[in-house]
Amino acid sequence: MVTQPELLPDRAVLVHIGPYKTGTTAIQTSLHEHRKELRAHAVTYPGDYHRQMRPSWALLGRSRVGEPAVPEREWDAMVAEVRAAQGRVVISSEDFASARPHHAQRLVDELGPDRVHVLIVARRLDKLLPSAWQERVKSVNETRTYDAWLREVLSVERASDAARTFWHNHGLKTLVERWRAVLPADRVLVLVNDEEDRRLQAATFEQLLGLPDGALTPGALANTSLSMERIELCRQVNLAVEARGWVGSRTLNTPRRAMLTGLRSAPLRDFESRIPALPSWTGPRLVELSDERARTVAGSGVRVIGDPDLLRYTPDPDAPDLSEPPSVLPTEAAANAIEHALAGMLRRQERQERQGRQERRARPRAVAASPSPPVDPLTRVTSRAMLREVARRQRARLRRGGTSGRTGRGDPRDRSDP
Amino acid sequence: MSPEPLPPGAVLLHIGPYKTGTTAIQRSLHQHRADLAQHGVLYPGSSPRQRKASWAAVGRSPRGAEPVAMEAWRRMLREVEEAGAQRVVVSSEDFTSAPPEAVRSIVEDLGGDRVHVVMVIRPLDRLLPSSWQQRVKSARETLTLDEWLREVLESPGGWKGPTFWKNQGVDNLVERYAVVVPRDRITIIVSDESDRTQQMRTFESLLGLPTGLLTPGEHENTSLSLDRTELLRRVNLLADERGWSESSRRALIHGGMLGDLRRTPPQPGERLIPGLPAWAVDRVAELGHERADQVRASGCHVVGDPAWLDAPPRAADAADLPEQVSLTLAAAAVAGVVDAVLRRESPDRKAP
Repeated sequence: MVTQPELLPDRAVLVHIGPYKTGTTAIQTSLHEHRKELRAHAVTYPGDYHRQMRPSWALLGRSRVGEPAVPEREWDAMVAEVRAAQGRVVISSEDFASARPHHAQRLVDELGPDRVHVLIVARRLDKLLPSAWQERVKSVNETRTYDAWLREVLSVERASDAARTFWHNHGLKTLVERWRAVLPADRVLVLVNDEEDRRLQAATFEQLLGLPDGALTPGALANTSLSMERIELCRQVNLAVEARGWVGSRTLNTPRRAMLTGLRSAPLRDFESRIPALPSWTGPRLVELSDERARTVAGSGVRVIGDPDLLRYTPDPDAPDLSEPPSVLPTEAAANAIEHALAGMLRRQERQERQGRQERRARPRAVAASPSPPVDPLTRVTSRAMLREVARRQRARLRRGGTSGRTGRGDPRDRSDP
Repeated sequence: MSPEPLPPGAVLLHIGPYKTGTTAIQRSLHQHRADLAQHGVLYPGSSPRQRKASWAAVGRSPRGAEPVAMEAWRRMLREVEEAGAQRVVVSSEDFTSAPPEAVRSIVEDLGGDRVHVVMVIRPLDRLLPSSWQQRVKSARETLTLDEWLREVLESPGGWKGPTFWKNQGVDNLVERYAVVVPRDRITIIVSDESDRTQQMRTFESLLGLPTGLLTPGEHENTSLSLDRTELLRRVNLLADERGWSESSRRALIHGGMLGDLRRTPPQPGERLIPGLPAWAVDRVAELGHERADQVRASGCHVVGDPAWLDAPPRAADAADLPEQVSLTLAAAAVAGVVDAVLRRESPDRKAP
């Protein structure tokens, strides 16, 4: 059934599960920035972060690489907020897309078997693939080139970790079935994205939640793509990480995220390139897979918003093969990346030092038993340096007339996909 | 042209200055330490140069490094005393920057009238770009080569110029040591930029070693390419902007990033540090002329021809700053930073 979105029932809980790279950051930041308007229309967006990331991680028992799992109580706290909420609730986290069946069951059971509606966004495969590769390179130490990764993901065998992860998150059939198994058909919604209509998702959320038309204006953040050059830097760092045996070290999370912030902070130069269109060798396979996805959605029996045929793909027979990865990047982007990585390292050490102090205060006896290590000169000066840094950067930005394009803030877009 | 051997018992104090090929001669002396001993020449310690001893004697360590206790200098002096060698050679470019009172005690500690000083004077057209590159590496310089040259050549009121000329001015160097060492015990080597063996041959003569004994050692302090220097300069700028401490810089930039930048093989399209910009040529020619005159009038022994300092400076086409940098280099730099921290956290982890 192809339908226009309809207003959900009064106490509906709309759970937006992404998946990854379907425009989630845009809708999430919009919801986050319009909390006041949402409240005015009796819509609750739980928590105070731009998405319900940590509760979703708590449910799924996952965390950033090498870090302890998010405690269950963060999920429980969100459940309590949802249960107490009057009116409609909307929850959004693309990590729900990787939920196993028992996670899905628990989500529905605890948020309200009669209240939950799940929204899945279906996007054209040729649009998903470049973003998904990029995200892996940025977040999970992917070392394959774009071409090599495409060959894995589009292979018939789907044998590699890259292929398994991609299809686990993006296989529409399994995704719909997973939620269909725990919810009635009319409470599983598939929104077919229209790549030409940038307001489609916001408008759909407005209609489902009973918000005025146009209420969800774009938020300040979008998870914009990096240039091929900058992605290639991440890939080469991933190669170094692999070569040096650091894979899985939690120490890397902070500098890696910081490096991305640094990479984003330099303006785009004219020699930089966007991720290229899909090469012609992918054409026949992509047509086949895209048709299958369109058929899956059309025949899913759940509520479909939009036209499933939009998922079909018309290959460009003249698309060139992918060239070698780029070999240079803007010096400014490189320097910013390095310096942010360095800053991230120092921040991390400072945090550890602070935690160490708190633990020692909490357990005064343990201090006597295990003397604290000598204070590292590297960490000693950082808190003052950080304060100075903030002041200096403000001044520097004023001096430069704000031309540098630095954002000067932490990056809430960071994530580490499974 | 070879100088006479120094008298037996002499202590040859090689003061550099910076960027005059010190690493090359030090590596050679280091590598031939046993050969030197066989010929009655002591090169104290066991490292390529008497680095820590000189830091202690001069009374200052490089930015961000821990101060060195005087014991490092005394230990070297004991070795000099106990060796009973016919001749001793001590080398560290950090002796260049010794304040007057330190010069006096260094010379006295090494045996007063046993001490002979040797210094190398290079043509400015080579020395200036190389010095800028070194400053970006070790003195957190944030000026571009062009900006720095303007400071050094045209801004007598600034402090970059005086710093450079204090360490590289012929009269400045000679006078600093001539206060305690008579000029006939000071040797100036005018660098022959076309002969990489000049310093080795001169040291052999001064130390009474057979010609050809000193061969090039491993590793040279080769200049970073313009691309690598520019990357580092930009990191220096950002680190300044954020107020990073000296110790953090030393640990993460020098202990991490720089090592990986050095180890990365040359990348396609990389450029060497350019020569002088055209605007600087006349001024450098004028200064070169003065330097040649200063050497001639110094009253010191001179090896090589002062006229080499007066040769027309080579100019380079104005080089644009690299606006793009090799991804391999940038990745090596990031990895170097991360590696430095991981090594600190698990000390058993070795450098790659």
